[in-house]
Amino acid sequence: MMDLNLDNKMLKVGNTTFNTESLKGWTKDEFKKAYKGKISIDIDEAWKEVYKYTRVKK
Amino acid sequence: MAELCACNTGGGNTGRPSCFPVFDVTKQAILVEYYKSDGSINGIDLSLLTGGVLNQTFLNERIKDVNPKLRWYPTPELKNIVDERAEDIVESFEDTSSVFIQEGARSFEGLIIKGDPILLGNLKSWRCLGMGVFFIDKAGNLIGKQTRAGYLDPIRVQDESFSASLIKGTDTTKQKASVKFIVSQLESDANLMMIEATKVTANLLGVGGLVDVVSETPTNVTTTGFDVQLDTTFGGVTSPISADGMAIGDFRVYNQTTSSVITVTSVTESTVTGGLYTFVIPAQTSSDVLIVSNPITGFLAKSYDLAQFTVTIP
Repeated sequence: MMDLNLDNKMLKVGNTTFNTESLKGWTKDEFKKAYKGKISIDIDEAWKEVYKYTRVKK
Repeated sequence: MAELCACNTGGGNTGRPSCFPVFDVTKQAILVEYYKSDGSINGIDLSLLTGGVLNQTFLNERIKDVNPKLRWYPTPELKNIVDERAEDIVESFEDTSSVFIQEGARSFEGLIIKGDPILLGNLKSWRCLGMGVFFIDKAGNLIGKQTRAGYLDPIRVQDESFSASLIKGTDTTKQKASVKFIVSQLESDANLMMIEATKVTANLLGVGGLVDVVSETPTNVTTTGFDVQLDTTFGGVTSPISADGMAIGDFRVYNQTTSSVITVTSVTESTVTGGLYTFVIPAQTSSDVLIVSNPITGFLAKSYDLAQFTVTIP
């Protein structure tokens, strides 16, 4: 389900590839709104994969 | 190519080692642009081969190069190869003797089984280019020429000699494409050299070229994304073969209006419709024009060569 490429910036979740740098600051609601019905796995499972990349370092 | 007369050094030695490799019949040709933009020959810098070995990484970088001017374009397998020189040109005299003037031209011809109009069109586009060719033989040797130290260079093809044609199938034969060209008169068979198959760890024999990918008009365009159907140029007019398996790293999105590269958030491939991709991007300004293309660095990992398309933000 999850596949990180060599430069550690791409994350594959189901049929979607993310740039992990672009996920910073996303909320669960925003994520669900954008990807529900599009991503090929359960949206809550997808969020679990994505969540750690959404946190912004302070 | 004129052979210089060795008046001061005598003739060349004619001995040979007890065991040495020879070229086998050609199975594929690799078409290249002969010159790089800096004017140097688009050859293989042998110092870049690790331990003198042509490995898969090196081959991928050449076959899938994002720069089409440097890229290698391997043909499918070739059949019924003709690769021979015409009779020497001689001057004959009344006493029936003759003297050598120059070698005849070397012509090459091969057939691509199931050659199709799309491939034919792509092959024909080579005719106007200053082009060269490497050959892959049946044994897996990569054949070029060596006329400068440290390089294996492509063999120059005579300008405007390259031709490709479609041979339609019959009751007893398969559709084919024919490829023909003449080797430049500047080339000498004596300069032909190879990287031996024993020094090739890449899957060279049977290597395929890139496949062209084109887009339909993007749909569902918003300030934060769009959908686009990507298809290869193959298939029927109403049933194109879709470009499946692409991912975020296979695209570059550039905002032409603001002259800035957009870091795409995600690319989702539809599980229902092959080749349908949904892009999510950071919010853009209305009326901005985006250009979606191949990445401009690295190599084209999926073997797809995307024709750039534009997206206008509503």
